This record gives sequence, structure tokens and C-alpha cells, in this order.
Amino acid sequence: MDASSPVLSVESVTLDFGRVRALDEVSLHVRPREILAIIGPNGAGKTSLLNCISNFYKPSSGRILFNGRDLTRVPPHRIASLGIARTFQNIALYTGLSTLDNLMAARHVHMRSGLLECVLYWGFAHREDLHHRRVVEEIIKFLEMEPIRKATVGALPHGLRKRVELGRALALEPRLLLLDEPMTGMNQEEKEAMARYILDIHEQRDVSIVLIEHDMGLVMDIADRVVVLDFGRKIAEGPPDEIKRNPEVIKAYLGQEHA
Amino acid sequence: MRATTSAEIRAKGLNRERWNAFLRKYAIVLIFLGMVVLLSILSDAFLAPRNLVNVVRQISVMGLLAIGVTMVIITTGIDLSLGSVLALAAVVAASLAQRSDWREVKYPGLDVPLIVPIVAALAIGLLCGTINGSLVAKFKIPPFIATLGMMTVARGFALIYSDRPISGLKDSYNFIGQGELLQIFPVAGQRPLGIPIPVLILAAAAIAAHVMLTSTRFGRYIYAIGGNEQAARISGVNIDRVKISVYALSGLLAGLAGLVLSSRIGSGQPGLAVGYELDAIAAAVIGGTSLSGGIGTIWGTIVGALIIGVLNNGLDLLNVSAYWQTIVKGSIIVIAVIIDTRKNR
Repeated sequence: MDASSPVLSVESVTLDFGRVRALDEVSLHVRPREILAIIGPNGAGKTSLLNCISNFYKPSSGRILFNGRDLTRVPPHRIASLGIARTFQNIALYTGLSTLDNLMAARHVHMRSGLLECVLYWGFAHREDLHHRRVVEEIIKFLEMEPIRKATVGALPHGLRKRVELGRALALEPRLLLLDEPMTGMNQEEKEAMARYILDIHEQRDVSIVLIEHDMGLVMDIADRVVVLDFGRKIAEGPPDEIKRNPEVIKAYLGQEHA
Repeated sequence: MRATTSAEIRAKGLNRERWNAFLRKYAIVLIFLGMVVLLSILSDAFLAPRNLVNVVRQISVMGLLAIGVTMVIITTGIDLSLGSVLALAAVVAASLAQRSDWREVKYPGLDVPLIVPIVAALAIGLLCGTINGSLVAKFKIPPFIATLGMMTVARGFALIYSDRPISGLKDSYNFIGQGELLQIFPVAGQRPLGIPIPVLILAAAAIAAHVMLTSTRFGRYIYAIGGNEQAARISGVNIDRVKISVYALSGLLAGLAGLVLSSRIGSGQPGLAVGYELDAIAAAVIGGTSLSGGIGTIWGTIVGALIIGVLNNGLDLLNVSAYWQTIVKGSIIVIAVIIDTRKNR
């Protein structure tokens, strides 16, 4: 292991669905402020791994340590307050609300004031709300979402919704950001914009990013390191250049006969 | 009515958009007012103060159930057990409130303070609701099935507890459902009109639920779960706990409704309130609560309950046969949902 201790350590995680083994003894580390890409053919277990980290699934065995804390023993709703945020392959947003309200909804978790405080100590609740509003407005600016601030999310095109979802994740001010195919269904221009946002986040915020993506070109461009999964097993790990030349990886992607 | 016109004028000048938004939000209120106007033209008796008070008294039980089911529906759930839970709470509460000199006493020699039946009814409701919520949240049973099971089970327990009506209840108990406070509104030639206690209970429950939904963290969680459960979960909402609490509250309100209904009719009966949950769901839906979750208000539900109440009352006053009444009611519910889905497109 490196000198810099990892933010996230996945330690021989196995996940079974009945008789199907989705993840088989997978281990990996995420270092502070790095972009780690997880790639692999369809059904390789990429999203399953993300679901284990964000506690949607419970691994059959193994541990997942986040800053030394075993996530498999933490209840799902505590994940956000520990500093882990994620986006979903098929976008999870409040479609009836505006962009602003979607981001504010994420902040409400941190809002301590309930009804009583509102009545008894109005000033505090008000200040608290203002603070959240400032954080959210800063994210809206960061992701260049000013024009759609008031737009109902359900009416936005796919590419923009993906961006709102990224904003929702950032609103939690995470230390670890999990992005599940943030560029699917986008055209080249939108993909490049999204890649730029991810790089900006990487540069300006103290956050580690785990990224699942199918577009190889983009992954190789933005990731610091790449982990390759195939049939639930980790078959390779390393910097993009190494991965590109790895015969195991080429075999997994192109099939046996090409190797 | 003045608010309507001023909004109209502003809308004409500035933007149609705002007028449409206003209509979308308050269409249900306008429909209700239209019904009131129509009925007061068609029937002399309708606008009489005593009749209006009656309408509100009659919806108080259904209104209590509707408040609970509104919160459940907002989380994309449903609660079909409310009528049965009401009946179970009613028979148990009634059995603890019988006069000792009554000819058929469930517990001879028992004479407990009024608080005992009240607490018993609420506790039964809370217990049934908590079981519903746990089945839904922990065992991942679809709400329709979980509460359908509870509907049958609670009705069975009510019948086992007492297969005949429990009557001869104490006056203090009956006061809950029959009493009036503030008998200060003069009516020519009759005793002054007061506010029925069931109406006060409904109003208190509605205000409490409204405040909870609109301005507490718990309320925000309820809408968040209905809006998108995944998004709520990843934002740190304890989904299971919120769901269990919502069903528990719904059950608690059913227990309260059992208290109100049994004291109003002066008897606890195992066959009470069959199908009331459907009226409650109808009130919520007419009031704009979306069965796909995330959308709904308490005031909308109360207006929905008022519409059903006014409809029942008006059709009675107009001597429409009970059979036709059910047809009219059913049609109006479907029409309300059609309007609702169209406006949300």
C-alpha cells in the first residue's frame, strides 16, 4: 500500500445474488483526491460494487473501509453524512421540483432546525437556511446551471438532468464522489462538458472520485488509475497507459480469439 | 372571491402563466365553491347553519382517516386497513367505557376513568399502523398487500373481541362524539349552535399534520421519499424509519377516528366503517394527492373530504336515491383524477 493512506479500501468483497456471484473477492483502494475509473464489460459488477460502497447492497463477505470505518456496519442513511455522495446510471432526481430545490433538498439533511427551532429560535433557522442557499448557489455557478436554476427538472433534457444530479451529489459536500456512468446517453459535446466538470471538481475540491464509464477514450483521458472488472473479478489495476496494453483487458473486451 | 378577481386582473395584464398556475393549484377549491353555490340555489335547506355544521360533523371521521392516508400516499404507499383498525379501536374503547348499570356489560364491575378507553383506542391504532409500516419498510411487502392483510386481520380481531355492538356507554365518553363547544351562535327558535367536538378534533389534526408536512424535517423527508426514494436515501434520509412512522401515524389517526365514531353513535360495533378507507383515499385523491407519490397537501385533502360531504348531503336534500348517490360519487372521483392527470401533463 502507498504512503498516503487510502480514503476508501474495498477488502475482498464478495456479493452473491442467490447462486449468481456478482462480485468475487474484489479489493481496491481509492487514494485522496484521485480519480479512479472502474471499467469492464456489461455485467462485470461495476454498479454492484458502487452499490456496495453506497450501502444499497450488503456484501456477502469482505469489508469496505471509509476513513477507517467499516461501511458494511453503517446504516444506509448515515452514508451521506459520512461524506459519500453518488449519482445513478438512470438518474434519481425529484422531477417535480426545480434545479434549485433539488439541490436544496440534498442540503436539508444537514439542516438541524426542525419545527421547534423554527418557532422558538427563528433567527438560527434563517441563518442556517441562508448558509445552505449560499453553498447551493455556488454549485449552480460552478456547474453553469444558472439558466436552469428555476426550471422543473422533469422537463430538462437528459444531458442537463445528469448535470443537475452531479450538482445534487456535490451539494452534500462529499469527500468521496461515486459517479455511475455520468456520460451515458450524451452527445460528444455534452460528454466533453461533463468531463471538464469532473476535472474541475478534481482540481478545486478536496474529494476523491470513483467513476464508472463506458467511453474508453474519456476514461483514459481523465482517470489517474483504472480498475478493470470482468465477471465480478478484478482482472487489472493501474495507470491508463498500462491498462490499454494489458493483454487480460484486451481479451476481456475483445474476446478470446483476438488475444 | 376577491382574491380570484385580483389574481385574474394581474394575470390578464402580465402573464397567463400565473393564472394557469393559480388555477392548477386552486381548481379544487373553485369546484367546491361552485358546488356550494349550486346546492344553495337548488335547495333551501342547504345553507341553514345547522345543516352546514352537520356536513362538517359527518366528514370528521372520514377526514381523520384521509389525513393519515394522505401522508401514506405521498410516500407512494397506500393504507387499506383504516376502516378495520377504526372498528377494532372502537370496540375495545367502547368496552372500557360502558356504564356499570347497563344490561350487557363486557367487563362487569369495571369502572375506569375516561382516559383509559381514549389511550386504548390510540394505542391500538398506533400498534396496527406500526405493524403495517414494519411490513412495508423492513419486510419489503408492497403496501397494498401489507395493509390488505391488516384490513382482514383487524376486522377479525374486532369480531372476536365482540360479535355484537357494545352499547350503554358513559355520557362522558359519548360527549367526545356528540358534544359541542362554544354554544354561542344564535339560531332563531332553537338552542344556540356550537362547534361539534369531532370537528374540533379534525381541525386540530389537520393543522398539526399540515404544519408537520410543510415545516418540519420529517415532513420534508415524507415528500422526498415520495419524490424519489433513491434520491432521498442517498441524501441521507432514513427511509425505513420515516415509512414506519407514517403508517404508525395513519393508524393512530384511525384509532382516534374509532374513538370519535363510536362515541358519536354511542356504541362500539365490529362492523363499523367498512370501506371507509376508500372514501378517505377518494378524499385525498380528489384533493390533489398523487397516487404516484411526492405530491399532496392536507388542505387539499380536507377540501376533498368536504366535497364528498357536501355531495352526500346535497344529494340527500335533493332526494336523490342512495343507489344513484353511489354512481354520482364514483363518477366524480374518476373525473377528479382525469382532471388531475391532465393538468399535470
